[in-house]
Amino acid sequence: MFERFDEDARYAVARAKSEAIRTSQAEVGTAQLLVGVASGVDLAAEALAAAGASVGQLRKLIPRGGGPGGLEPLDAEALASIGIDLDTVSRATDAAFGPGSLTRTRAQRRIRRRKSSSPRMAEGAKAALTLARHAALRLGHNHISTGHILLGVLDQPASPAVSILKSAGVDVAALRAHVTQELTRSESPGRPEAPDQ
Amino acid sequence: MGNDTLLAEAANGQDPAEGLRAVRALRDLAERLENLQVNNARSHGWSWQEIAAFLGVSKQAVHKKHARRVGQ
Repeated sequence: MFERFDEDARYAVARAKSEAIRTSQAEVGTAQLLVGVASGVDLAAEALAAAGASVGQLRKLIPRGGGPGGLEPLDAEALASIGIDLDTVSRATDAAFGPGSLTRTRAQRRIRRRKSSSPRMAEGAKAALTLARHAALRLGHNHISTGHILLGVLDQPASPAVSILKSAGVDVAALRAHVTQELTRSESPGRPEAPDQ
Repeated sequence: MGNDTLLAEAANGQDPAEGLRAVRALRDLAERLENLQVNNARSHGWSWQEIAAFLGVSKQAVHKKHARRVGQ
């Protein structure tokens, strides 16, 4: 599967896997692929950063795995988005059960045995890599690069990755056009300027 | 903006990522409140059966979930 991937692309996939492990995800999904690409120093990573989706920004928006509750603080922003003021709730529990009672109690976690093998690729991520190959073929490129992987991710509008990009305020269509343009330019230095499509 | 508008927006336009994040936060909050309230009920001498009735679940479910945590 990875024969025609160039070195940067292989690193991006490897980083995506590390990211999944780091955040206790069972699968490597499109969101982790995004982080893998964004962690590089090539045109795809630059395009993402310029669009407002650097690694740091992406990580803030990607949920950690491991089930509900656990050891993380309550997500006040998410609760506010559905009309729940966490401060009001905290004040009530503080008054009834003592200061900080809401933060001191923890949600139950079902004990889940950690898989010792590395996380598998989610269907969406596999699809993104297939679409990456198609993109490379379509553009007449010999190798699959991180730019093609990014296009493969962007070509799945219903994926978690695109959902996350949108909530980061990224103009997905503009990013896609920009990446395509940069890919075309970088792979054919000798070609005369083609008119804008 | 009133609560009704917020909830309507949440139900209709939200991105899956934001919507699911809200569900997860709500579930987390509900779990913690449940812990606090079950503790409170037990400290008031309520039986597992009585607690279960108020939570709308079986006695077995409540006991399995909370007994070890509460300490009996």
